[in-house]
Amino acid sequence: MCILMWWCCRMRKFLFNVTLGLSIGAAALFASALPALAVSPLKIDVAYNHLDITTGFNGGDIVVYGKRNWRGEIALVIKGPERDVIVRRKENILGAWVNKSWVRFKSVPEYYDFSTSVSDYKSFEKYGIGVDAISFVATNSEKKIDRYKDAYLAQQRARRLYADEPSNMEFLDPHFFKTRFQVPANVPKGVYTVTAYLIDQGRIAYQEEVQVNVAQVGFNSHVNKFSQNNGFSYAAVCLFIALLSGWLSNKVARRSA
Amino acid sequence: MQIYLPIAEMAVEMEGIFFLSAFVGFLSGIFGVGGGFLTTPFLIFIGIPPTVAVGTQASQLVASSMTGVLGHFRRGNVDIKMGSVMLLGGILGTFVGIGIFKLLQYLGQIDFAVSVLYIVLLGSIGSLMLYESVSSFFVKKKRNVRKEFNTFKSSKFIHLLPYKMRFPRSKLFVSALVPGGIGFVGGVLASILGIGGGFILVPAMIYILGMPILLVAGTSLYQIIFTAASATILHATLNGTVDIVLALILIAGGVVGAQLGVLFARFVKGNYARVVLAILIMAVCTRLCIDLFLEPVDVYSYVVVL
Repeated sequence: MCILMWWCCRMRKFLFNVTLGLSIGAAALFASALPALAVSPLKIDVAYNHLDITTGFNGGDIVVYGKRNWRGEIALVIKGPERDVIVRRKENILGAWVNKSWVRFKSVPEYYDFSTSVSDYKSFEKYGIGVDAISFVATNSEKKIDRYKDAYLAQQRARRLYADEPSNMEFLDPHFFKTRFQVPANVPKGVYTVTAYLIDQGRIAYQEEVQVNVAQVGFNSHVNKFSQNNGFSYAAVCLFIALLSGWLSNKVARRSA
Repeated sequence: MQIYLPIAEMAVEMEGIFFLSAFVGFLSGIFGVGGGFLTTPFLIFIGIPPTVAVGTQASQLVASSMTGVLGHFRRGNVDIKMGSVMLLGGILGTFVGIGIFKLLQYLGQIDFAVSVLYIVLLGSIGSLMLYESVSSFFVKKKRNVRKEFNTFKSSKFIHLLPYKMRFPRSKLFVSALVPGGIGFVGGVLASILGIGGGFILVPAMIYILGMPILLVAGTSLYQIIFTAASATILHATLNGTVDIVLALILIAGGVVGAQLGVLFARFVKGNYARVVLAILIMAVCTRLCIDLFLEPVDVYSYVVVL
């Protein structure tokens, strides 16, 4: 039965999605009896589900492994936390360059990188994959909004927070692949989502998500949490250190004088 | 060595910041200036967000003023009553300053406002200092700076103000609004610019308040400790922009630099050194002017809204 169903999928291409859904359902039903069907068309995971920002943090890697159990091309997209962004434009007022008009974009990813199994990655833009496919929704009206968007993209690219070119997808065998996303030292913290797309017959046949938590750890995270949860005590500690070092400095100066 | 700043949330070159603050500390050791007015622009130049630069610099100010005031205390050159009235005004000023700071941040004009204020301050001080030090080469006059009494007569208007108080140490009978107002200006400057404002307070205390010159430096340092402390607390609680790691690097650099500066000061000829300092101040001012008046490479900038 399993083989029959598999063949059905191969032959009737237009029924791909339906049969895929059926086969997954069937696989779930007969999972114990028929382990061969228990595999999903595409499976990915990350080497580490967290990226630690330590005191010596100077950028790092998010490594994604995956296996495709179906034909089709693969795309991986990694997105940072989505937040609103205000892009401001400087204008010349009496000789000085001052922020004037602005555009607020809703829910823009703070980090974006991707990787594809095809070299012509531009062809994936129609599936919403790639930096130029990120949707920008302005919450206010302003002239030439595209220029604000382009300026934001250019700055994010310059900060290496948006990919210029997709990261390399390395095939360890025809179905087993690996991608190393390199994140810079100024990476924003938050929950990152890695989404894998299986593209077959000109559409997204299957997709899967894995999350990576990018967070400060150890001393950094303690300091950050302490300052946020108890700003007054944090300030008191800062002041104590300042007063103490000021006093010590004076002591040392007197001794040496 | 790269070090990650937990509040600024960015990695910076630790040595660079250390040497920068040591250099500024060195200058303050030689000239007795606070140096905040140089550190904050430098931090902004190397890419620290202005909000973090200002907030953190306020805590460094506490350390450097503490070092400075102890010496003055030992010599009895602090008018505590006068300083306390000033610091009340100063603390009030930090609240107003932080309000202005937050409003400017909301309007997206904080960078502009900080630049303009620095240009005005550095430009006026730098040119005055340059004029004074250059003219000292030509006009040799023996000035007696260490006077117990200030011969400057304060204006009539000052004497008409209410809430008069007696300040025995300074031998003054003057309205509390005057030192309070001077402190207030210092507090606003401390919370918006991260500077102690000594270069504004000291002349104001001499020429407006008419305090004995001997007491001016110690008294202004005494009140700056509290004003800067208040600014630190407000920046930490309301803005979350005091970075303790950055503060530690700045304080450490400042301490080392100041010690070297004091040792070095003996071998420095005052007016030559002042020319160098004036030129440095003018250079920072020019750099800020260029950033403000030259068409920027990218007229767009962005902020993430949390």
